[in-house]
Amino acid sequence: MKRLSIKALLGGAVLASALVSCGQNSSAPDLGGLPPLATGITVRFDAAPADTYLTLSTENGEVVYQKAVSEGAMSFTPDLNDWRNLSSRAAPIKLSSGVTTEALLFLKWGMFQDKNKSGKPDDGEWLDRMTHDRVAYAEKAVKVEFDTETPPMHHLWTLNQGWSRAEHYVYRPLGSGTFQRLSRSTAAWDFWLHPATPLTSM
Amino acid sequence: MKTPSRLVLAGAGLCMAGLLSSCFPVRPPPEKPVTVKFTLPAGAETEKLAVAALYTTRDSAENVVQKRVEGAPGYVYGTEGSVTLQKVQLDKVLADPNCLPYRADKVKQVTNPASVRSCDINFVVYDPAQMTGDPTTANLRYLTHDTYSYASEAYTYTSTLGGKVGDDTVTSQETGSRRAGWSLVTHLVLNPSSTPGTYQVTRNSVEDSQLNLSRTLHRPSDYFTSMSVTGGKQ
Repeated sequence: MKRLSIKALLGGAVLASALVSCGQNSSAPDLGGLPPLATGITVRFDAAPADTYLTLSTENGEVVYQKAVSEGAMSFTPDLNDWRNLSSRAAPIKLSSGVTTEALLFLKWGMFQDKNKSGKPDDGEWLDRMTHDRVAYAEKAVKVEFDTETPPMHHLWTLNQGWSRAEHYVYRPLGSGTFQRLSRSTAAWDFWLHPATPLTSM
Repeated sequence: MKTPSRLVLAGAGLCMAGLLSSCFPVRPPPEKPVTVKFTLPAGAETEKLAVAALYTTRDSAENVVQKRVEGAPGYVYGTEGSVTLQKVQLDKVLADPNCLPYRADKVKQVTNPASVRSCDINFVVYDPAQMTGDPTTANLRYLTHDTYSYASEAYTYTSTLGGKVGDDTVTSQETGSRRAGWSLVTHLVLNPSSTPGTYQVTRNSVEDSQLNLSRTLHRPSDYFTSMSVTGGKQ
């Protein structure tokens, strides 16, 4: 009986250690949720040529951020902290409807190939890559609607307070001559650069 | 004394085997339902609208039609909507031997590999008060060309289509890629400034994490001008 008890104890110890080790190996339980969205910022583009920079510019074309991109790279993950202080440039925008918005700043992505190694974009160095999505900063949450004549377009901006990605979404309803354009903050910070298109195109 | 001890040991062994096998389960994970979320345009008369999932197939006269995915409840609340697809409903779509890619009447996919089976589910918001059966052009209010799509294996495709916008002749060049199995497919149309008569349509499988985001719905639109995918109306 005593030998049996020892065997049982030994068996129990083996069992316990086996269970502990397999418990350590098992992964978190699958509760059936979706994989989470990536939280960082990603800018995607066709393979970068040599000596390429990714840039953020103001609507006036002033380059306010640039980072070298490796040759052949197809994406870049910038750090928002690199341009966070630009929020001080936010200013009210007077819309065609006569309405003036809260202080806003829109920044647009671009790429240039620094052929002359000057470290800045010179004539003929900009690549045909852009997106109508914007990096946006709003001092307060914005919801504003207005119309433009050229192109004939109804605009709706819904922007969160702070920095966000303002997604461009446009279409023309059947039988209408007026495009409908949304510019709205989204939960994902994914940008995709494509050949230049007019504002009436996605 | 000897007999009971063997019994005890055998019992302990069985228990151990059972416990250990529970550590390494061989059961497949449960099939998860898929919920596709939508954002309706601001100002939509949302209180009387409903969402439906449709899939493309052929009717008895060989016409390409969209049929409702039965048993897939759709809801609209405020300017948000959703449809949940259970595996049983997805299986029913695949059980239809005629199920097809979205708008197969216009978009002729040239696929690589050449032989692949692909079926698409698309989504519309309609006014059920005007409904006598499935959603129709008459009661259709909003839609998206993003689809939930099945492919028997991973593939890519191209399709070229000519058409008119007003008096202008335009061309749509569509390309797409699919993962094997079911995946969310997003729809993007570009009208490059350098080639104004060309619309570049891309419909690719995206990561499942994108299901966290709402699909933006729009009013029915002419296909070449913006968000639509195939020739003619809608």
